[in-house]
Amino acid sequence: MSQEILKVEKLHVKVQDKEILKGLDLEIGEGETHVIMGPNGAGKSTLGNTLMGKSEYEVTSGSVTFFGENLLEMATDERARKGLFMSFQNPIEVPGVRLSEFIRNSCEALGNRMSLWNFKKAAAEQMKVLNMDPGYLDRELNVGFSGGEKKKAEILQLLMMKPKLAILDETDSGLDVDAVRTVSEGVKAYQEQVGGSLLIITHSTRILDALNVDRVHVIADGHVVAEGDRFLVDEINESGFEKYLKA
Amino acid sequence: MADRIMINSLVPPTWNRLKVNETYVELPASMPRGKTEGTAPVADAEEWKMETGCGEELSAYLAKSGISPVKADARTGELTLIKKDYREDAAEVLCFEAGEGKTLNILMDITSDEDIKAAGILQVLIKAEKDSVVNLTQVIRPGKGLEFINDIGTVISDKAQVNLVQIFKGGSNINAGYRSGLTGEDSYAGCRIGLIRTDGETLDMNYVMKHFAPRSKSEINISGALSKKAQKTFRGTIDFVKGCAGADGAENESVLILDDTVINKTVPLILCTEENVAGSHGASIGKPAEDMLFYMMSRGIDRDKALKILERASLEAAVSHIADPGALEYVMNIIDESREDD
Repeated sequence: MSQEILKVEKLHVKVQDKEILKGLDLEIGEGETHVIMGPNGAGKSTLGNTLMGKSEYEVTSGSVTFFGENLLEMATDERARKGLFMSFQNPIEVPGVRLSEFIRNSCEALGNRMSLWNFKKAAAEQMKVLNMDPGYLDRELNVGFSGGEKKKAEILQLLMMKPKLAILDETDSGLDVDAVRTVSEGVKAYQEQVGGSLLIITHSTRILDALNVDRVHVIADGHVVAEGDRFLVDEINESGFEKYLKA
Repeated sequence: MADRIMINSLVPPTWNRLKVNETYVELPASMPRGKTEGTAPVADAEEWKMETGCGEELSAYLAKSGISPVKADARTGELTLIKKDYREDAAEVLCFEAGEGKTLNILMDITSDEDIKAAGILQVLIKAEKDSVVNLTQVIRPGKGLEFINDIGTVISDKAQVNLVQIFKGGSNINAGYRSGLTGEDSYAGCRIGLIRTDGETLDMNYVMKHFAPRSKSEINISGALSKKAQKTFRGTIDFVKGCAGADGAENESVLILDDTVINKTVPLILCTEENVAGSHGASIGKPAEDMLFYMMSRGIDRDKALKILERASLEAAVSHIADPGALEYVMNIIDESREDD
């Protein structure tokens, strides 16, 4: 394994008094692509939101380190500035804030201040990868966007912000075949341009078709019940999650 | 000796204890006339008598001070930029007339030096003739020392439109009135207002859409942010007069309350003496959603900065409705300047 950047040990998380994660372990190395799969309610999105620091997710025990530092002690914005990113399953609408202003502020927060000209040039290049009209930059963030447009806007942010570890939470859900392909191209571009690590949370596998996957983890009932390489994805596609639920 | 006059009165009044029925302002016994380049006295001041949002007492006060109306030189197809930089007490009544089928684009930028102590009154009267369009944008961003009254009255004829965009930022106490007389069939009046009030700033507003004609349409949309002991009162009246069958009026307000020290009062009022009309009111007033802040913070933006961005967004929601590209660029530059200041 390459240099470890994220280490999750015996993580227990509850939401509104209900325990969702029950002793989850996970390690991700630099530049690696990991996939989290599992049935609905297994705790996949809870893991993503907990790593990003959403307040409703209470860590009751366990530890998470990111580049050797205690991630759980950091506020959400600090985690992002350390190099963590999450593509949201349901991106939030922010009326009145243009997509361009949001991304520019985000890049600035991460220490990448650009002139308007350089920003627009950089954004236009990345938007080509995603088949996005540059006009989207002037639209209000996620307001009136279709499901596919929202997910493309998330991947555009990924490409512009260049995080060290990106969590993609159900990025392919609700997208048609063409949109999944485009989003997948964007994720591939992130791998190629940035060489960052990926934690892809999904219960389908379409987004993985074009990507190099290093490790697959199956979660059921709040912990990892199976791990393997790329071939585990094919096995799940064939047999589903049933045998892991019985385990 | 100062004059105490009543402005922004609600018709009909509601409970006195709510303290929204009207506002009183103290003004010098007489105000000097302000000057705007390219204006000329109107031929017949009687022809420009019209109701305004602030009301009769303000108009009477202006008349008593000898502030007679002047007509501004606004030409169709051009952007008319009027910069008002207040350095001393000044009052002015500016008239605009859009002839049949004409379009006027007017941009007013209201400023004052931070250390100037003064009172300003600007009354704007608009006549929109048949099939004409008046796009008026006002950026009201004076320094702390200016007590400012901005008052508008319009008369809108058949198939004519008056589109108002207003930005309120800065100043200490601002009073704003607006009244549209929708006298023409299929006439339209729209108000898009973005406001930021902070540091004890106040804004007292009275906006009235009076529908006289069939199928007339009006919209008032306000987006704003309040913080640090700011106070805002908005009275929004849609008045459907008998005979305006098919008229449609809507008012919507979205105000972000950024802390617990502010006072926000909203008084929506729909009056109706005609049956076949549609009137609606909607309001979204509250703190920013935690989900929204989490989303912004997940991109590395700290909480304070996220709130600043949302505050500025309340202005941009109104700015996006500016029709004239030159006016839009001008206002966007002002907002971008404030972005650099953050």
